[in-house]
This record gives sequence, structure tokens and C-alpha cells, in this order.
Amino acid sequence: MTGWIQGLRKVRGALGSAHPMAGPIFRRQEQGFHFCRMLVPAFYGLMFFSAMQILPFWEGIMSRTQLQLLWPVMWLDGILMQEGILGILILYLVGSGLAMVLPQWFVIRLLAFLGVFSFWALNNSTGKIGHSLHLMILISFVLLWLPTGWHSPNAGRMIRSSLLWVIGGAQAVMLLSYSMAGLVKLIAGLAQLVQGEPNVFFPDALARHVADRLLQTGSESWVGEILIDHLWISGPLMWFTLYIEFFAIWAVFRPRLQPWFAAALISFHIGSYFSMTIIFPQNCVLLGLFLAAQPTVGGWQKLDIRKLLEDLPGMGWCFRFRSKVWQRGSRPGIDRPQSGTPV
Amino acid sequence: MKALIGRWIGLEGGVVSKEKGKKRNELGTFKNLGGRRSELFYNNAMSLYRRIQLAVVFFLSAMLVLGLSALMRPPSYEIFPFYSWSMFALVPGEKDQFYAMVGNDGAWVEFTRAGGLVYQAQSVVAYNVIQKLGRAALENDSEGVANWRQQFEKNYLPPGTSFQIQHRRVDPLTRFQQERRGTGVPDGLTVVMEGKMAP
Repeated sequence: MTGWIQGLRKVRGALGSAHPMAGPIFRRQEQGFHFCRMLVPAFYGLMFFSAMQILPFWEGIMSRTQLQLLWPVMWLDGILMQEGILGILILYLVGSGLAMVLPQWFVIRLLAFLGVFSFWALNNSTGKIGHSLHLMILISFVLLWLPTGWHSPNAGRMIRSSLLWVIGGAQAVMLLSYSMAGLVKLIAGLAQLVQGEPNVFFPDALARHVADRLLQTGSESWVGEILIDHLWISGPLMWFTLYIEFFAIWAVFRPRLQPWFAAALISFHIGSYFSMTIIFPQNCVLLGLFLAAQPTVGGWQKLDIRKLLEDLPGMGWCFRFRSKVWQRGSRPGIDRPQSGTPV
Repeated sequence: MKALIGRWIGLEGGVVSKEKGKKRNELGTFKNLGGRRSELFYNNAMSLYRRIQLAVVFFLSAMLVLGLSALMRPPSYEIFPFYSWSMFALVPGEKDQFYAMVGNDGAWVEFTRAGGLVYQAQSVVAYNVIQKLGRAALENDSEGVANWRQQFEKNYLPPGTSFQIQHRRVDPLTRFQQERRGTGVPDGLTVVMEGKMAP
């Protein structure tokens, strides 16, 4: 068990930055801890807001009859359907509302998780599964592991570390989902490339996605036509998105990158709306709360562009290589010879 | 329930002392708790910390493994709520496209443009239902046709509406340019099924 953890620490070390975040580590833990204490009720506040937003649709949801029930709500089949659906809707609303106010209670966090999980399973039992609440479900599950006493400002160091680990886990869940999206795009792109089909490495990839989506829904978008007509814009945008998505998980190990990756992913979601009319508002808020605000290191650090660039995947080794070449030519205390200087 | 689940994932460890006036030292223990109690407290907290680490790592691994293995579970590619996140993975090239035409004979309107005649004309869920219905009709899958037709008629068509499902292979970029020039639905469509809702 300990061996596993040590192995993972080695992986973390290998992925670590050439210039890890310096500064007083215990003070950052203290700041991070207090930041994360506020983050948990904010998360449940977002969940409660989502639950409130569907209030006008309760009647429509309850009148559904042709349902292909997903496994978490399969039990609805054996009881009165309408009453069961009403129970799920009430659980979602009340559970998330209570968790916003009393997140320190495990039972209440469990109710909130069961509420959002059941609601989303019910809402997606119509044949097509949407994904706008998936991250919220996964994070609310991770938050079940918050240690007893996490909400107390006088919590001990181990409790603080545990809280930071849980929040770090929530960050990792979010970033891993984006990395998986990037990985699948990469694999599918290679398969299409081998088969001679249009693929993600071609400059018209984004234009094709936008055209297909707009034709599917018969809708219009603000920038869709611009992206279709100007492949020199849409091509690099697609490749940049692929880079950010694929390497998103990298940011878990490099806190300096987190706000910038979050900003890039939020921009990607906003861009998706203006080009394809697809919107993931909850994901944007979660990215803002859990990553852009840098909760685990206690807020924003001083911006150092060179270190930021070194942290980027694929860039760090360039800088290290440059430094090594530089060091090889010089010795401590001896200046590098200037060109034209006689040796 | 809390005790059962808590014992499993270690929530019971590392409880903060509520005793007032006691100064906390660096390890999160209390100076005046006494040796044995202090050690127990530290061990519990450490054990909790380790368990949380393991739980997070295990969950992330499960998310990755289940999510990627869901790629072999079409059509949803999902073991709910673990998803492969394969959205927009395949770049669309020339492909089979099914169009629902609604209205009366001789005056067909394409579904996405028939906002006044149907429900949720611009819904992407409706688009998926039409594609599945068309595919089932093209492959003479009577069970699939019955299932998807029921969903299509019930959710998107008012009573008395006639409809056709037409098929053609199209390239989205070419089709988008044609659409922009106002050529409407593409030429060379093949009707794969027709139907009429009861009034």
C-alpha cells in the first residue's frame, strides 16, 4: 500500500516542474485550507442553483412515460412512476440546498450526491445521454470523503492535508475528463488518418464539426460561418484545443498552470457556444472555482511568465536542455569566453 | 450508515478535539493530551490521510478504466456516470444522413425548418431519433423502426401529421455551402419510410 503511494510520488516528482512553486509551504497549506473550506459550500451552492433552475420543468419531467431507465433509477419501474420522479426531484432540491448550508454533515452530502445522481440518471433516460452534470456528480462523490472536522478553522495538520487531498482529487477528476476527451480525439484522429478520412490533424476539422452541428439542428451561430470560411483560424484553434485537452491532467501536478488551463478550457466552452450552440455552464463555473481560483495553494501567486512557460507540457525540457548547454560551456566563477576574445 | 461507510473510508479518524484552551502542535495533536492519547490521535489522522489518498487514486483509476472501456459499449459509449468523453472525436466526412420531411403530400418541409408544424424542431435529440429511425428503416429492422417511430411520433409530431424519412450520403462542409446558397434539401434523396399520425 505504502509502496503504491511512494510509486505515485515518484511519478509526481517526474512530472513536477523544473522550478516547483517556492515559498513557505506550511503557510500555503494554511491559506489553501481556508480557501477550500469556503469552496465546499460554494460547490453545493452551484448544485442548488442548478436544482432551482429546473423547477419550472418539474411538471414536464413528471409527465414522462416512455423512458429507457438507466441503472440508478431502475427501481422506478417497480413503483408508482410519478411519485418516484417527484421524490427524486425533491431529493435533488432539498439535498443540495441543505448541503449548501450544512456541508460538514456527511449524511447531508450523501443526500445531495444521491439527489443529483438520481436526477441526472432520470433526465437521461430518454435515449440520449447529456453530459452537462457529469462533473458535478463525480465531484460530489469525491466530496463524500471529506474528513470529519474539515470545516473547523482549528483543524489539525493532517485534517488540513486530507481536505487539500480531497479538493485536489476533485481537480484531478475534472482535468482527467478533459484529458480523456483529448486522448479519444487523438486515437480517433490517428484511426481516421490511417483510413484516409478527414481527421483532427487536417485544418478543416473544426469547420466540419461546426457545419455538421449547425446542419443537425438547423440553427445559426455567431462565429460558425467565420470558422467554416477561414480554415487558417479554425485549424490552429482545433489543434490548440487538442493540446490543452490532452495535457489537462498535467496541471494537477503544476499548480502554476491551473488558472491558465482553466481559462483556456472556459474559453473553449464559450467558443463552443458561439460556434456550435453547445453550452456547458456548470463546467465553466466548476473550472473557475476549483482551478482558476487556485484553492489548493491558497489563491493566485505572482505571475512569472518564464516559469509558466517551463511548466507547459513539452516546453520544460526545451528550457532544461538550453540551461544544460549553457552550463556545459561555463564553470562556476569563470566567465564564458566572449566571441573574438583570445583564449 | 455514517458509521458503516465512515469506518470503511476512514471518516472516523482524526476527529478534532473540542476541548478548549489546548494548544495544537505541528503534528495536529494536542500538547496536553498525554502520550498514549496523542499517539492514537496522530495514528488515526495519518491513517485517514492515507485512506483518502488511496480512495482518490483508486477513483481516478476507475474513472479512466471504466471510461475508456465504455468505448466498446455503443451507442452511448458510457457506463453511467463514467463516460469515455468521446464527444466530437470523429471528424465528420461523407456519411449517411436521414432527413425527416413533414407536412402534406407535395408540400414537404424539412424537420429542422418546420418550427410551426412540429415540436422541438431544432433539438439535437430529435436529430438523433430521426437518424436511428432512418437507419432502422434502411436496414429493415422492424423492431427498431417500431421503437424509434413511437418515440419520434410521440415526442415531436402533432396528431394528423404526415412524414417521410429520406436518405442520402452527404459531406457536411459541401452540404453547408449548398444550404447557404439556399438550395434547400439535397437532390437525389431516397425515401426509406413514410407514415402518418392518427388525427
